[in-house]
Amino acid sequence: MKNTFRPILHVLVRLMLAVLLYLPFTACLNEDVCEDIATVPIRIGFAMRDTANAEPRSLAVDSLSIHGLDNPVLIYENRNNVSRVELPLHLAKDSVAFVLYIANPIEFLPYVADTLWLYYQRRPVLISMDCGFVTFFDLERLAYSRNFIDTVTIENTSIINNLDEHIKIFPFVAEPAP
Amino acid sequence: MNISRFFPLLLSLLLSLGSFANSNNDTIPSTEGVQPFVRFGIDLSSFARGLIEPEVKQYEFAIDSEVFPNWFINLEGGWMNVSTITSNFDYKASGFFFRAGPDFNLLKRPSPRQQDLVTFGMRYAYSFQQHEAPYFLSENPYWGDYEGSVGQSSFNAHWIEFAGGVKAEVFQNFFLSWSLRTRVKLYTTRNSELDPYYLPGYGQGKRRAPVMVHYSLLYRFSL
Repeated sequence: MKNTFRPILHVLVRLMLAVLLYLPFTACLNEDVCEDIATVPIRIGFAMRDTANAEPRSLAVDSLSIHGLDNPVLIYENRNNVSRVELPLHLAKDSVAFVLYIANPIEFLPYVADTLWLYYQRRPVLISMDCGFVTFFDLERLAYSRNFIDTVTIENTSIINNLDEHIKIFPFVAEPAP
Repeated sequence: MNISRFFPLLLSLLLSLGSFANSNNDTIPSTEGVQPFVRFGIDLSSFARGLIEPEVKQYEFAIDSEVFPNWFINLEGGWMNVSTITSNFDYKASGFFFRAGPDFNLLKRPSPRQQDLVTFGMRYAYSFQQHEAPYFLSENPYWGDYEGSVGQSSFNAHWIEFAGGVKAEVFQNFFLSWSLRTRVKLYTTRNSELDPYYLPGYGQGKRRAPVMVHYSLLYRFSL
């Protein structure tokens, strides 16, 4: 019986060694991602309704600029062909607002602007001993002005360290001529 | 971690080992009864884990006994302490856990004197801890960094485990054991202001179904 059991033990010991060799690599991977997850942004997509499909189509906007309502530093400055933006939420407050500018289709004004208010709950999370704390958010509601923005929808209320899109902005889009 | 990759591997390994053992012509089903014993064990993997995360200290002990031929009842328990102070955060946690459940021996040994086992089993587990973050810094280059704190709070967790592994008698009554385990949460404290970094007996709290390796040293007392 001892001879019967020995080959089984050999297989299992090799499997155990494979797991042990794997462990240091997982530790190294954790250290590399710290910088990427230090700040968790809200992801906003631009979209337009598609009458042929239930799902909206992604929309690229031009000459896009964005800054915080009480912070004049631009997060995006005159960017073209933008279909998604990432904006940092305020860590010391439960709400934040951003001012968005796009090129005005009407010639006598260079830009048209809208303000987007976001209301949320903050959730500190210890990501790892190497990376420390980051703040996750639970989006509760939003408000917006309607100059170029038609509607805004909440797609995902949980703002954590993944690549999900959280809200969609539907700008006014001119109907194509018949 | 996606456990769907590991389950078929573990299951097929255990089933193949079981069928391999049964296919031997010299394996005669036991007609003897169960020899009563109690086996005490200490988990060595928690010491190895300390090399990767020295801030987390967890100690774990186990008792098992054969209640029917090839069926073993297991009681496991331990405690955990986490304490770390860095320039970016302070975090402290302490708690305990226990697990209970059966193991089945897939080798179906020919005699109760044959003590080497390949087991598959389940556990029900519970843990309790208190934790706090007296200081933390969360970075935000646009709006400014935020310094905060979270007071002490309690956290409960219930989960089940599926375990497969080996116990080998290396000397008279001394055993070395390793097992692969995956855990599935059943219930945890809701609306916690701060989710725990580490659940006693479970692993990192953010993981939904972690796969963990346990290594144990055990001693068997005949009754």
